[in-house]
Amino acid sequence: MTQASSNRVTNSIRTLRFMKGEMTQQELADRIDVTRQTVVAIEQGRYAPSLEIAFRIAEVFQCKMEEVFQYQPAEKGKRGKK
Amino acid sequence: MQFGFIIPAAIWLGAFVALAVVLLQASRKAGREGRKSRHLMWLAGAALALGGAAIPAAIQFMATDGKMWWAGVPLGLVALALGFQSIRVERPKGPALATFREKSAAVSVAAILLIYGWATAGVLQAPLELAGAFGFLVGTTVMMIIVMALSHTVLAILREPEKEDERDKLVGWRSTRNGYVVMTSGVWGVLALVFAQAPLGVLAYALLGLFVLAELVRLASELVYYRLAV
Repeated sequence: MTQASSNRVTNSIRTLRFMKGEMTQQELADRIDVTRQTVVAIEQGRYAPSLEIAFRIAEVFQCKMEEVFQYQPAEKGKRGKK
Repeated sequence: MQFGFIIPAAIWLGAFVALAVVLLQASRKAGREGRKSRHLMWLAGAALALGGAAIPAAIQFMATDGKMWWAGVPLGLVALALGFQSIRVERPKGPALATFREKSAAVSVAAILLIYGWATAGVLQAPLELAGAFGFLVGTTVMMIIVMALSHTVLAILREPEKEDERDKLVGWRSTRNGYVVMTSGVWGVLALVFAQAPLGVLAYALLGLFVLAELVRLASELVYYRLAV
């Protein structure tokens, strides 16, 4: 699971790719119609994708969105900068 | 500065573009009918190259008062031939280290630093006058067009540019915002110069410098966002 220091949205794309027969980042990028660099940024938690791309990723891995992306609610008074 | 070259250049460009369109349509028709059409594609590319050569030639003509009208022709030919080559060559399909947009931003930053840095070094040795600012603007613009056209066609030949995705758009919006902040802040500075009754030449150079700085900030922001933030 990947989580950037300031992000509260984490994801399991790396694991899901591994379980999908070592799917490459390029293959995933082609299937969800983005560049490989965008997949890298999403995987590293640097970029939170739009709902549409998130649904497409879940569709590729044939699982629910919650299995791909997880949301960690911030503690009171520690709300992250938008 | 002479502008008499614009009409013949436009006629030249229009005629060759029309010829290229006809050849491309013939090429597509031949392709649909299962016949070989590569030679028609080449002819269309050659027509585009010859037609497009009028653009840098016209700019060169205007910039040098008609003395070096021919100088743009070979450059235009090289740029457009490279562009046409980029349509037909087989380019690598594997993962790239950076996207076309990221490479484009890096090349543009380098070109701006080199061309405007070199031109500014020359300008600082002479008095800042309005006529000089106009020459500076035309000269640097011509050089930027040539360098950007050549470098981007080479980039396109090396690897096919990717389709823009949502992250590219986000990076573009944020970077443009940063450039805009610099631009608006700088405009206040130029206004202060106006109220201080600075000479026109100084104002012209200040505005030019502001445009260049804003563009530099926009492109540099793209590089930073692509690598670190977004």
